[in-house]
Amino acid sequence: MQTKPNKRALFSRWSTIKSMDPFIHTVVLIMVFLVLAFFVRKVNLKWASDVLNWPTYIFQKSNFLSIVFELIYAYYFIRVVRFIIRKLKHSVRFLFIKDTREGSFVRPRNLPGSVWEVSKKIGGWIANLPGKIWEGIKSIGRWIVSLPGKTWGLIKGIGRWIASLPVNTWGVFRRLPRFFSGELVGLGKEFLEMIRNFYRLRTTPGRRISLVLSLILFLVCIKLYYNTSVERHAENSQDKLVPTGEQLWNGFKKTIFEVNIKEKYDANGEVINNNLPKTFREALDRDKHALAEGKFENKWKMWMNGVTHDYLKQGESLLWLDTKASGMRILIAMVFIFAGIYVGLFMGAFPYAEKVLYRFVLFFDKIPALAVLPILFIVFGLGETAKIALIVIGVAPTIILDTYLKVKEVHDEQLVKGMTMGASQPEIVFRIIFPQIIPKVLDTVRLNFKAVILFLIAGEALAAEAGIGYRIFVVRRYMDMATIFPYVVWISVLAFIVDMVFRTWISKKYQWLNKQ
Amino acid sequence: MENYIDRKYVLELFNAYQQYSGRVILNDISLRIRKGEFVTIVGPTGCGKSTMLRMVLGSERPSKGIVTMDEHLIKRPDRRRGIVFQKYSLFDFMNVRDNVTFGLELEHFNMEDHYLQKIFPFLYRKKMKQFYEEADRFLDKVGLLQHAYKFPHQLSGGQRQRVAIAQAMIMKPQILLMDEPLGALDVGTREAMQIFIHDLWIQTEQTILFITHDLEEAIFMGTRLIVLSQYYKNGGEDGSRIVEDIKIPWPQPRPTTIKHTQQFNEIMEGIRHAGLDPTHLHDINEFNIQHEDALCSVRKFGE
Repeated sequence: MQTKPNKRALFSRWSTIKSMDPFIHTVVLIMVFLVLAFFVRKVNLKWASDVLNWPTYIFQKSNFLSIVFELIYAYYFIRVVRFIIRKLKHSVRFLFIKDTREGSFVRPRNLPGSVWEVSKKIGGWIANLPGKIWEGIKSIGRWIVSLPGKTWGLIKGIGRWIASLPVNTWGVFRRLPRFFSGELVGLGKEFLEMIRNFYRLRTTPGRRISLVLSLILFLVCIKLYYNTSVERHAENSQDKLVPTGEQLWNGFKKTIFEVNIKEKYDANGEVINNNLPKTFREALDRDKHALAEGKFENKWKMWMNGVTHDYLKQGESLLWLDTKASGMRILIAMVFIFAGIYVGLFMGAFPYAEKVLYRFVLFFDKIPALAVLPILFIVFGLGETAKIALIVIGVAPTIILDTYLKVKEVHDEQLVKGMTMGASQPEIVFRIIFPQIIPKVLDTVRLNFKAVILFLIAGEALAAEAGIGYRIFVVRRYMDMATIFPYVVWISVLAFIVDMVFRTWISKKYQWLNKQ
Repeated sequence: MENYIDRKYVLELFNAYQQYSGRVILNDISLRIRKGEFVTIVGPTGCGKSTMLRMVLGSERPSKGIVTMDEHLIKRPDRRRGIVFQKYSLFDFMNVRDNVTFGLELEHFNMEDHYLQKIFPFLYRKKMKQFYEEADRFLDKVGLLQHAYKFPHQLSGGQRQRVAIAQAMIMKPQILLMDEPLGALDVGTREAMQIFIHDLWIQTEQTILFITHDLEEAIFMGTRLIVLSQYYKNGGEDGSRIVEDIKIPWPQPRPTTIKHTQQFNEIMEGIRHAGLDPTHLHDINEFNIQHEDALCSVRKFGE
């Protein structure tokens, strides 16, 4: 009895000559270099004309860095063009192929056919074209039709969640005293247990005592601050160094609600005075008086047409202005840090790339970024580039090395398995290694976010026009603690939120992680 | 099923040596395997079973001698040889069905297709449907159709190995290599898996090279048994050799009751004495190499 020859093995060679272009990754890299080129040149990019005119840019600009990036950019441009040409060729090629196997969904791609076969194929393809287009339109239509159903499903889900809430609200309130007394008794029990087990190694503290214990140090700090503040204000009521609660609250209000008014000058160089209010409070008071006098029909009209609206339109809140400036810097730096993941991936996956890059990155990692800060400011000027470069130089090597180590951790069996399944080299890198390491690397990025903020503030402290770090260091001259505190709290909260988003994303999207 | 002698050779090893930093692991291995055979390889710990498998797979090259498949040298792992490892065969980041479909996707899609598919899934729906049908057929064969949407970490050890077998078999490789696939399973699951793999082999007529350290398993499952051993008197040479190459006499399919017959126990005792007993150093002439396909790999001491 003879077994059938394995026909698929005939075409196995295709898997090794498959196209080498990871398309989307190329597009991502191009975008990275476009962003960098934007900052190096300080000109607005008109995309289409720039793509066509890149050689003239190289010769116009004398900046060395811009030339380097233009070259890299040109390289990727050529790659994309080559990819498109290859794809077109590939899509035409299958017209000239004879399908030898009946009922097979494998399309043989390396067998030439006779003229008759080819013309039949072309005829069939043309005959099928309307059907295919119709299929495509139908599937898009099906998707659009399914949209209301999806939305309805979402609404139903929210409704179900609301329905699951306790109905008997009064019952909840009635049960509250009993609940609190129960909690108190439990706390007492846990307290006694704590006294007994304080110096024991393997104990599990209760829920309530854990909460109390973890709050203790915070409360101690607040109390100490309060005492110091009261003492200093007893000596000097104008003290700014340790502001009281009222001063702090005023600082919060000032930074969040007061807009940053830019003064306008006339031809003689004197300040133009408009009769707009100087503070948010004042504007609101004026509007309320006007409403009481009956100048506005309702509150909505008051908000839309009143002085408050004009006041807010003058400028932006100081905090929001600084957050925007700092956020932009962090975002651009993050693009480069994410590009570092790719560098690490290549370094870990390809031994030759490792030999080229590993020692260099290792050395680069050891250079203290703050020590090269002056050099950066001299090379890149006082603009955005220097600050972004500082963050990237400080954080990217860590990310690259961490990705490298994570790639090295991937079991060799997985790569061999991929090869036995016909994966090409880039497919092994991007479809087997990359999905395995990315959640772990995202974790590292999350933990390094603190370093990002550190370098951001260090860069902004030296020279900037706006930014969280800049503002803190400016108001330091006036010892304006009431402004510094809100900024510190705000940046901590922002960092915490970013961390939380990353954490939630990782734990939801990569549920298989750490469960092998 | 019985007459293998008419079939052509699919895998051949000629005088293959393997050594790491001067230490010889495999010493002059010659072997021919015909299409459709179920070859089991046993041997004591550290005798180089897995090294030999890696040579066949192509992830290692022999330091001397040649390993060929279909009269071509094996250079690197490719899709003509499937593999099931003891561990890490599955991709943890995909569910069971995607794991099985992965090979088909790799073969028929390019890199850009994979990303285009993420953006425009409707362009690839027809093809993916065919892949999923194929995958479901194989999952049905291994009895895991109802677990298709689970992730590997949600499966038990035996289920995981069955998925790995489906994942390898869907590629229809010419040889399926198994490196102690049942090594980490408990006794009950193990016996069930033995029967399962054996039935699957009868259905598909796949050439299988099965490595194990359990002698009973090897005799029960294979049509041909090869014993590798480093315990022999050889005048100062080290490295493992084929010390036993026999045909297993029982017809297919085999009931598990044959494990308790007299003949089975006799064969087992014989092999244990000859190959797996380190205290019994025997002369090189006494090797029991009686299979029709066995190459004369026995060199007499002193020649």
